[in-house]
Amino acid sequence: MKKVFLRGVLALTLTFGFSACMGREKNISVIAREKGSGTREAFDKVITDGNGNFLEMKDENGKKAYKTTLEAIEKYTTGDVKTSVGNDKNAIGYVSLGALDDTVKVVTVNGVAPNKERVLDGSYAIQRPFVIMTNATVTLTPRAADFLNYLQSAEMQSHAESAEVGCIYLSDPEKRAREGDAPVEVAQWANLDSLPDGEKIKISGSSSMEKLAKAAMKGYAAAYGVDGSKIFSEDYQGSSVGLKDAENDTSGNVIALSSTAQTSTKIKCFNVCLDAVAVVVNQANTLVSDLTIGQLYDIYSGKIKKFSELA
Amino acid sequence: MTNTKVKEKIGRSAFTAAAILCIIAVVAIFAFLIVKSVPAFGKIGILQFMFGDNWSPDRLDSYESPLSGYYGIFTMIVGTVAATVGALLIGGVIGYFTAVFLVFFCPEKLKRVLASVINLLAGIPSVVYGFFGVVFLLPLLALFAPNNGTGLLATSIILGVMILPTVVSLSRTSLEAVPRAYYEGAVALGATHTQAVFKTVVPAARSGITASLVLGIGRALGETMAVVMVAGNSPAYPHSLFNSFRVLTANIVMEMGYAGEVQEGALVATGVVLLFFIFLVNVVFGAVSNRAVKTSAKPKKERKTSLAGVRIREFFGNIAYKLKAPYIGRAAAIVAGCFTGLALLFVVGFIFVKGVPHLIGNGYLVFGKFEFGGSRITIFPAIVTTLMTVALSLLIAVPIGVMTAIFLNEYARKGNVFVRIVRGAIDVLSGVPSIVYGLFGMITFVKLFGGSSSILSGSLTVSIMLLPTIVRSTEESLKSVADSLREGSLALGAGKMRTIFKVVLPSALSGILSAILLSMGRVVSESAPFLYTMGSVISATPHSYTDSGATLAVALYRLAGEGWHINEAYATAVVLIVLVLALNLLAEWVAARLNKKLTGDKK
Amino acid sequence: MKKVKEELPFGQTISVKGANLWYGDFHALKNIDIEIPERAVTAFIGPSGCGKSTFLKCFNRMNDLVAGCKITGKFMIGDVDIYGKTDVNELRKNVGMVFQKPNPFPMSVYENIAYGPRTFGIRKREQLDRIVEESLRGAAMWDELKDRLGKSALGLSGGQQQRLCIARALAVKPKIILMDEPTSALDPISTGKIEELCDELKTSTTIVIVTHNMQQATRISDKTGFFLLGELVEYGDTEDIFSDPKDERTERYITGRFG
Repeated sequence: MKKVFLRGVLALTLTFGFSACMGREKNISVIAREKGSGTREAFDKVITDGNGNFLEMKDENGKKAYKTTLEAIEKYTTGDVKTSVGNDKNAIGYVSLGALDDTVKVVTVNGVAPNKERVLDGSYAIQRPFVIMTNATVTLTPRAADFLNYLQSAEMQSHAESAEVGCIYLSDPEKRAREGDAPVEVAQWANLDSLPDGEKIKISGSSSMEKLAKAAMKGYAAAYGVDGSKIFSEDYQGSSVGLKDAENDTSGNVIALSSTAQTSTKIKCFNVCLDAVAVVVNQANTLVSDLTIGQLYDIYSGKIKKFSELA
Repeated sequence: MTNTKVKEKIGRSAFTAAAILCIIAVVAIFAFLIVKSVPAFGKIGILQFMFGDNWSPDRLDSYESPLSGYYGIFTMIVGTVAATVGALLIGGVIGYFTAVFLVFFCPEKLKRVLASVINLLAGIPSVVYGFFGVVFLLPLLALFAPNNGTGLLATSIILGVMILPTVVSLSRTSLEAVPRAYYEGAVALGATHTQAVFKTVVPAARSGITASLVLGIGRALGETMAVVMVAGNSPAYPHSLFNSFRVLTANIVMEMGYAGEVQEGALVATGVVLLFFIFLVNVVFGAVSNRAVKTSAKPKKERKTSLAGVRIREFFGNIAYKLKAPYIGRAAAIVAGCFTGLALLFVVGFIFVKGVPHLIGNGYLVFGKFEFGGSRITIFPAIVTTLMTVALSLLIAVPIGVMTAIFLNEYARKGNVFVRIVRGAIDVLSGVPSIVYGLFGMITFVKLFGGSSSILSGSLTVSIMLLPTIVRSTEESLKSVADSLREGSLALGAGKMRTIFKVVLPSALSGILSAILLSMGRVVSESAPFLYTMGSVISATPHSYTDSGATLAVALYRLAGEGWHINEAYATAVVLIVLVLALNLLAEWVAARLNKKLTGDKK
Repeated sequence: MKKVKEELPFGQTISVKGANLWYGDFHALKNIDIEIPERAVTAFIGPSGCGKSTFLKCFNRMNDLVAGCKITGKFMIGDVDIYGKTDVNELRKNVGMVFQKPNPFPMSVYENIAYGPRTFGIRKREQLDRIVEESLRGAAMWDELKDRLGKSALGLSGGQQQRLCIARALAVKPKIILMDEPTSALDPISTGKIEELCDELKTSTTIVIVTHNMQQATRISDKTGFFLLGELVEYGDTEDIFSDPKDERTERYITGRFG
């Protein structure tokens, strides 16, 4: 008798709890990138509440403050973000412009869509340069130097603007330079008689730049008729990892990629193209199609927890 | 015979050298931990580090100037504790009842099957569990969670299933070791089978069961990959069952790659805290079991029993009696047994069902040559990388491990200080979580070899991880060889070296080979030690040990995370499971075969 | 390639003067003098724990293996001081041992017997074949085992295993064989066979046997030594010891007053 009673109580509790959960509108799944990501840095440095608070900033004591809500889920790569958003009706995330496809729905920011024109004229605010970095002091191997030349040349334009990659090529020497540096001209490059000497070139850094890098590597390798895997080794662990690899390069074979501006003096760099960080939600999300930067801040800082709260 | 004398001297020196190498490995790891973490502890402040709950590191922080980042890991300590408790509640309880089921309530035919199933569960790589969590468990939980399923509950479930094999096998051993006389005594007094089991046998196995739980805790504490995939990893408190939180191990693996000076020190310090927890658990367990043994050894008069204590015990005893507690126990045991069996079948079955279709007919996936800039995935480079890693790491760890074991068992005087140091060193090595090895490898081997990831660095890192297992297993095997055999050989005029190599080692061979095969399985299923030492990108088939590469487990982790190639991820998981299970089965078969050969009438 | 060593001048007599042995602080053997004759069977008898086996193990330096064991006194085998600058492996080649519990190696019968000769450099198949056959014949096992040389020694019965161990010890052609209660774990028939063996072997080898069984001592030994609490109480021809013991303690032991 007692057993039956206990069992009954248990069953009732479960059913009640279950149904109580089912009907509620869920909280927004806030998807962010990991802290070493250039995409995240670019996003965090732009998204503000209008009162001087950014998602990543230094507070009044000069100390680091990350305002992204502690409920956020951090993902490692652009692809990871897309999958998460694509599979979750309540998700919001941000990805590189070039990574957009029809698995996710793009959200306009302050009424502006992320496309080439709006990025170039600056009206799409969440943008960042794709930066190519090398060590500031060490001499590059002949092979790395040649590839760097390739990256600085106009060969990159077709790679950057291809449908696959989809970023915005920079040809203006002023825009190609880091703020405060001398202007960087577009270089002339033609392939030499044979592939220059040197160990494998190490390509390291932003996963958002993976497609661009792969296109460039493929083109370079094809120009010499050599298998690309004999020339390059690649790793896309994030812009910060790339920066670190470039700063610590002692053999002169590291060419690193960052998807956000870098101020480090231990590296030389230039901007090869511009990219936008697009805000995406699930295809089935009908509540959201445009967000202001302030709303993005509220969502990402956790102030707004449900899409229905967006008045 | 000076020839023999020379051989003896060389042999002895070699074995001693191996033992010294083990000590060096431990000293190196500890030196690394101290050298890197003490400045961080100092700069950040120990209390601030351990009890601050703001983790906002600044990559640019250095020891020379004031810190701009915050380095408090308290949220992660809470996260680790919560996840471990959750894992214990699920895995510990179910494991305990499953063990009871297996030993006392399981039909004979089912027993062998279930036992094998549980052993197989132990072999599944952590990454596969994580993957299963992401593609199955999270969406399931999302049905009634306020978020997408991520959080403490998902983590606890996955961790719980992962520690099941450990808890079950050790509890089972303890239960089976209880003298039959206890059971028979109870039954002879009129108790039913169920009553006898729960009231006499199970309590007698208490210390062994506790030991199994402690081991389970150790495993859960050190687990990285599976947790990273389902916990959400935000540096927040796990204030509900369903919010993103971070554990200590995840903290290390997520920020390791790009950490600046102080941040790196803080990550190593996180590892130190983790190690401290594991150490604490072992000490507490030691103390508790000691007390239990001492108390039961004291004559009854001396044991302190207060009247209140007796009354309370009576009260609960009454309730237990009325509720027919042993029978609830039996029901629980049966449920647990079914759950465990089904859990494995489910995890493996799910992945196989999803993955095998993409494996069959997709020869390119497994055997294809890597196309630079191509869009198809091939894991052939990963297979090659895995094989290269296994080969090198075993080449290093097996000789050193076996020779150290020979030193400890055949040459050293028992109780000698040096012996105790070596044994202690081995024990310490076995408690270090794999992510700490990865951190160590990244900061030493990778830096040593020019700063970029290589299969060499990864292999060296994992070979240190294998040492404790190989040394321990070999030692046990050597111990099981009867001394009379050694005496017989020496009495015939053979020297010690000849005795060891011709008589002792061959007899211990099955145990040693099993250990080797299990080590192979370990190398194949690990990923945390390789992420930042060997590389994580599938690229061209590596040609030399200085190339970087991804092993199968790491490749699975990347494929699962990216989301672009989910089908290939399933297929990779299938390959990985098959490989590890094959190695485990091979280990069992070899052990059985060699044992038969030694004791039977075979040529 | 190991060369076969030439025969060292180990004789076949054992001569001990002033032997003392301590296990740590425990004085296990007290001032023992004894002369063991060549090509005869000498038995050590006495109650448990009185030092017989310990003393036996001094002759082939197996006590070296015990930690904390200290030995003083002079042990001569033939003209050789075995605790002097002697190669201990060479010593053990010449002084073989059979243990209380049979301890065949987990190898085939052939391999077990060939183990000793191989240790000392004999590699040629024909030579080893010959030695195996000789040794098995010497232990009266050739007919029994000649068809199962390749099979594991562990498949033999207890008595067979012990005789195999004797054959194994014979394979290196020792001058002296020490037997430490070799039949205490065996059935009467196997015991009988081994006693027969001792009788045959003593024509070429010196045998020293420790035994609990006084009847066995009377059956097979020429000389007997009675040990009690670490002392050699009485030593002499077996007949004399058992029919007319000189020491009262010997008499009490033999007549069964204690044991």
